[in-house]
Amino acid sequence: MTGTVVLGGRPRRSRPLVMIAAVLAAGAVMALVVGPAGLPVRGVLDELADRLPWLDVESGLTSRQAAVLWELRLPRVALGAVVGGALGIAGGAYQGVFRNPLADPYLLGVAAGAGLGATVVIVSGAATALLPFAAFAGGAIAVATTYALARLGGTVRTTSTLILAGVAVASFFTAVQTFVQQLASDTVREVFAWILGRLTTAGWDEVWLVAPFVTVAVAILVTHRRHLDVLAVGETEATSLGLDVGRVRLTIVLAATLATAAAVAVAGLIGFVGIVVPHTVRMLSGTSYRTVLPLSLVAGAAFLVLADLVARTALSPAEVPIGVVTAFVGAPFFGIVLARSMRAR
Amino acid sequence: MSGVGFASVSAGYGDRCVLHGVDLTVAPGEWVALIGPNGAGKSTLLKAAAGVIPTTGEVRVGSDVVAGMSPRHRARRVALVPQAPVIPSGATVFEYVLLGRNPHIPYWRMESRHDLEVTRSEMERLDLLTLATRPVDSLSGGERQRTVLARALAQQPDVLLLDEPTSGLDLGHQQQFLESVDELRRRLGFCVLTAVHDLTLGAQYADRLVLLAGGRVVGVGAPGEVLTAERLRRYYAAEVTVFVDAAGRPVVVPDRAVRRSGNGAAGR
Repeated sequence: MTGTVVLGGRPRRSRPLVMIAAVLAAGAVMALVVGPAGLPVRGVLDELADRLPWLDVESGLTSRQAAVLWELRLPRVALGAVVGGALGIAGGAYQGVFRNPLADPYLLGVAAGAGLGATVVIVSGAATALLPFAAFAGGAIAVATTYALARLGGTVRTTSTLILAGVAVASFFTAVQTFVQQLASDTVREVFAWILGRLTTAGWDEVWLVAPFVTVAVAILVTHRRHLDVLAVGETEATSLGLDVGRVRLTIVLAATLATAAAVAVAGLIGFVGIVVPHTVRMLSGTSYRTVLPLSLVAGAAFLVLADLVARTALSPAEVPIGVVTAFVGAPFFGIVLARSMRAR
Repeated sequence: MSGVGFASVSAGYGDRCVLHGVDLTVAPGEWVALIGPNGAGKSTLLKAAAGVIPTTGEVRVGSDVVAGMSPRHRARRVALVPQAPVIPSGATVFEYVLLGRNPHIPYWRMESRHDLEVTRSEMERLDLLTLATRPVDSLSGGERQRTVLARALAQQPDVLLLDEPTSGLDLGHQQQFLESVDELRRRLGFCVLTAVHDLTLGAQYADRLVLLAGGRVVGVGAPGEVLTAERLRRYYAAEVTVFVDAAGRPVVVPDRAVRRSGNGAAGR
């Protein structure tokens, strides 16, 4: 007998997960099939099944089609999923740890800080392997600055204080980032295209570069999801419930920042994923971080894979930066969340 | 089960010292009510016992010093029901009561079946099972207060701290709530330290009253000894008459006639 049965009234969790996973799967297949070189759905599925160890399927794809699938489409979908999952779970984690529905990697200035760190690496011509580390350093400095700024009066008084501090920090880091970018004329175009947010040059290299960082961050966040529920009752009560608030907060902020930095290092600044995804998940599954965090990971992956599909097909053959697509959806969504949080006060 | 003891405990917020060298012992299973005017330090004393504010001096639970315990260890011995609990929006009764199991769950683990069973039985004890999936912020005052109590009981504490637990409840719900606390402490053996505003109600349930004023203990004893008209005039600047009910418990009644005749200025 499980806890669900013992309690009877415990909410069921499997349905939203199945729903979101289905959206991810459908979005991924669409993203693999649709493009300048259209691929047959059946052939793509057979080709993928063929790679499974115990299956041997003839896909009927030409070698050129197979190359498009394995070297262009699949790594791009994989990168979209990794980046989207990282931003989605990071957004949920920041909202929990700061107890602020508007917290998001982008709005807290973390993404801008990570962007500065990554820009420094690109401009200086240092090894690409350093990208995630530099992005993490920049992101960590940015979030620490935002929090310190918001706490100047002692405690963070209102929801908007933290976000206003984040806006200031993001603007500052973006200014420095632009300055650094302009210093080196030979990399300007490269940096500029990257900072707008894109998955265009995605190959497997980028996936393998950030997957380990995202994996570590996600593992830490998922194992701390229970603690986020305890933090939701505020510092004093969480302490009285036996939580080492300082340690838990720091751990979660660092893990969320690591996830954000990894995403920014390969995909540039993609805003609003951390707002759209966790709030949508809450509407489906309730507010406990036990479910919100894991679901935000899957839903973030689905959201970004679909956003990238729109980004590369809307003006085909030209590409819209994916950050433009997520902002187009995310900014109105942010307005709704803002209106609701002001009404709730 | 253990009691709780305070030895020259001082505490405050930032630079402002609210408690000044409080000495007090609450025996295992005993109910002690803290009374005193606004700002006397009742809440601060409870927070010091819960280990959630920095203190000097020594708070002990049984023979263990609270300051020396890890937060988890401490939360298994002492539970606090704050005056205005933070209710996370959307949290269900079940999710909220489960928070009380936090100190019993290893850091890297999720709740075990035992934790779920304790959560369920505490909800059952306080008649909350039918509300399990309701959001706490949608409950009535009485239901909400029972939910917060269930969370504290899920910690399975030796010491239960209640900060003005009945403010905001109507008379019937006040009695109902305090009766359940009394019944549970007799059955489970924990001691209760509670801050109360309503002196008569406090006197009905507490074994002893502790009168705090200006952060110091200025009276300790059985309700009838502590609640005297002179004391209340001196520390509350209130004009009252103290009657005694059939069970020998004091009943404090505000006395407007005395106040208006001019003697009421005594405390001002």
